[in-house]
Amino acid sequence: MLEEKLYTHFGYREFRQGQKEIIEKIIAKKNVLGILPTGAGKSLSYQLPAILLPGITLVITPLISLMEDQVYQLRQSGLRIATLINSSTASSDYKHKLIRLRQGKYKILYISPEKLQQEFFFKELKGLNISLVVIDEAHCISQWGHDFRPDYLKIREVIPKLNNPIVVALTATATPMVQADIIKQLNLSNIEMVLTSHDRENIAYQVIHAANLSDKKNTLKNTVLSLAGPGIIYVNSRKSSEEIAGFLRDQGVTSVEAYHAGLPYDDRAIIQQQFMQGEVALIVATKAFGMGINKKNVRYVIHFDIPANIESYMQEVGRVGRDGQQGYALLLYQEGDEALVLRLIEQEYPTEALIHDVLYYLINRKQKYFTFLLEELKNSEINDQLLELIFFYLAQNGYLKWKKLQQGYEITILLELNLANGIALLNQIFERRREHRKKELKEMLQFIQNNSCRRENLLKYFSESLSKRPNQCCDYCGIDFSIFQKRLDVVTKSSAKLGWNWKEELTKLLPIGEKNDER
Amino acid sequence: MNSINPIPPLIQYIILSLIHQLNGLRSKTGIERLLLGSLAKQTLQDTFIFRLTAFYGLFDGLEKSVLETYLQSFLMNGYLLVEQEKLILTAAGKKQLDDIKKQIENNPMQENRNKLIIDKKTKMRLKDRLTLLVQSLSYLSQNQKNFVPVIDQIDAQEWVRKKLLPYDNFKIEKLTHALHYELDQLAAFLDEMEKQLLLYRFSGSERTALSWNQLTVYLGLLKEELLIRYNIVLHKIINIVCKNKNQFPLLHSIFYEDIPIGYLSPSTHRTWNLIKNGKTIEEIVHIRKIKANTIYDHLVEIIMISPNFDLTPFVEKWKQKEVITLYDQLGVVSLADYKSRLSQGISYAELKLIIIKLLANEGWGQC
Repeated sequence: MLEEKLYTHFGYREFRQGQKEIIEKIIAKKNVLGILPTGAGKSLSYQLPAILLPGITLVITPLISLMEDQVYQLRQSGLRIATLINSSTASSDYKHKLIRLRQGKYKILYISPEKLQQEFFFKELKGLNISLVVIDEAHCISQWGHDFRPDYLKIREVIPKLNNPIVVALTATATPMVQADIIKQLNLSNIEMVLTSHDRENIAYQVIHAANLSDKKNTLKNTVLSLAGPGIIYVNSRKSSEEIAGFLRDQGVTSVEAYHAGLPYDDRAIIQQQFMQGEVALIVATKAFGMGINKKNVRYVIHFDIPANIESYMQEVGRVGRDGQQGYALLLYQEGDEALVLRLIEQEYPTEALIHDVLYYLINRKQKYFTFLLEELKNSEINDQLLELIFFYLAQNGYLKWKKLQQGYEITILLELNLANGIALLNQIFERRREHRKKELKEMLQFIQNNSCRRENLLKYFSESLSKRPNQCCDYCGIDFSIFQKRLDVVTKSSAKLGWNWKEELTKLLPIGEKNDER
Repeated sequence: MNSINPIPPLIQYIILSLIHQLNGLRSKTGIERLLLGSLAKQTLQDTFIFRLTAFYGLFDGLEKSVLETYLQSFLMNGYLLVEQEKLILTAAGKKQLDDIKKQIENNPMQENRNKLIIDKKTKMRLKDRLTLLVQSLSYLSQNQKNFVPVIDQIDAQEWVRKKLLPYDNFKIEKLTHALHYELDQLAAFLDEMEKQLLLYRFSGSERTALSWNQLTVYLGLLKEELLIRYNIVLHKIINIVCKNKNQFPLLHSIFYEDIPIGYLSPSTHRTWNLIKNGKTIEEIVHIRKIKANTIYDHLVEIIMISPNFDLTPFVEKWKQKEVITLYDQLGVVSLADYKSRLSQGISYAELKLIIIKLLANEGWGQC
């Protein structure tokens, strides 16, 4: 019985929606595309099969923090069966891990997609008995997904070379169009789908229209002051993350911190940890915050800025209520908010000038095979991401083959490039991509402006309909706000005042004396 | 940092007194690089020759643009002026420096006698190791084996892992006691603010560290000043531990076991290996196909972090003597002042080398 195995290994009595179906298919050696909303226990649906199947389960996942988090979570539940290898794994560590993998000491190996492109590592992989390949965040493989990563597309070339393991693609959010694209891009003949609803019953949705910025900030302040945390506020820029955190602090919100990719790395780790430990109750973050943060009791998410699309919105909102308790999602909208997102969309794809510079460089190298560094392009707009997009589409159209190296890129020209044609081709592609993004943004706007049930509108976007309306549905169907109110008897850890005393503080960090005689 | 905030006295003091000591010899870029801790050859040599190790890298962690706004405002209110691209402290600037000196209580720069060139990479590694060791012991001494490391640097993680082996409760207890004891000893050398900066940036099982923003609120200082003070604390600790090896065996092993303090470029490393194998400058020129002057620059780098280096095989005795005589008269001003008063046979590269060695003999480059 699968339920017994579930209880022995993970301590749960029953499966959550979708988990069992996915597991049964895997055990029956079928490929699966599984759509499980954030917080629905995606990882368990491959971790249990990984334990039950002979050999090793390879999990491809885009973020290092995500891998660490998974390995850590497993360890916390007493399962020392997983390890991870990524580009920052130290070589001594790497060798040690490979030995243990060969000895069968691990059941699950987490890797980042670019690892698959390294030949010597791939050779090692082939030597291992890999029975299951899991593609986490599978929407990254689709050009229509909200988080497309060109290196994800290399996965399909690799799978057949691994002795045809079972393949599972998992994602939290995917429209039917993206679902179809994932299947197409993975190039798997027989793949079965397990779709669970995108609906998160325990989240109540609200949208508030603000007349102007000060109205918006005021609403934010009042909401935050009345709600029970922990909570996350999402904004679209580093600057507003700092500004809003500062504003709330000035308004008497204690325990609020900004989080964005511009902070020093140790500060980012500190703030993340404070949030996990309950020392900080509220984070004002850019989208850099979230992936890999598995905090179960987040009670609300507020979008202070408009998200770029419904998928991102769902993913961010999905961080609420992973403990199954009631949660709340508020979106604040002021007319014209979308302008910033439109600007970001423009910057997301290469401009014509940049395309020109890259193609010009490639053509004038006059070599069929070469390696080069980003700096050689002498273009101030360029970054890895934009360059890889250009390479990706050139490769897709058969002009070249490319590989990312430790430093720089390796290029093999396959077809002669013509500057004008090349620019026209790429421009057309990126214009289409921009149009697609703008369409997504428009759909987001529609969601905001629709005068009907929020939940139904969200589900409609994913071509689903509502099966059962929860009590706390949305601002149209009614929300009982009293259940979200701050309870005065709950005191967060951080509200305790810091008192400075060297000896006490030092002993708090490094306890000596009777205290650790428990063993 | 916005322009509404006045520049904190400590920051004013550091910038103005650095420019005062450089006495109109360096440009804005030169000064910025020194404060930000650039590894450029010129910056490292300046730091040493002008005895500015106490200032080197103090602004590490700040944005360059912030430093630029400071300098800009000093230029605007007449404390500084630019002449032939060099920054000069004006009379008003000198007065401001004297005034501000009186305003700062417990000025950490007054007793900053750091003579080491502490490069940021080394400093970071030491800080990361110590931070992670504290966190690990904090959790493990409570028998909590699972925690998320606040330091994700591989070097620190590997080092701590090794330090804890062979792992057992007795070892953890011993290390926890030792670290507690040594940090307590260290506290005797630090003032309250420095002690707070040190401990509040550590995370443990009972509480996480404080972010810079949080410390700003808690200590009532601007983030920029905190970052600078933190750099001064780190410099201080590195020196104390280096000088009192026997008092701080555990901390000493964190700082000095496998990392020498100071920066050597990869090319200098190769030269040094050849020198250790007894090769002469001519031979190295031949083997490495580089100019003799480059090798002299490498020797300068080596002496800056290894002051006991013997110069005799590389510069003739008479040259050394001549420079030493002049040094006793002039002290260090600018090397250009020396060149004109020395015999033709002494090259600029040799002069620089001898001066660096003299400074090393006086203790620069050592704790």
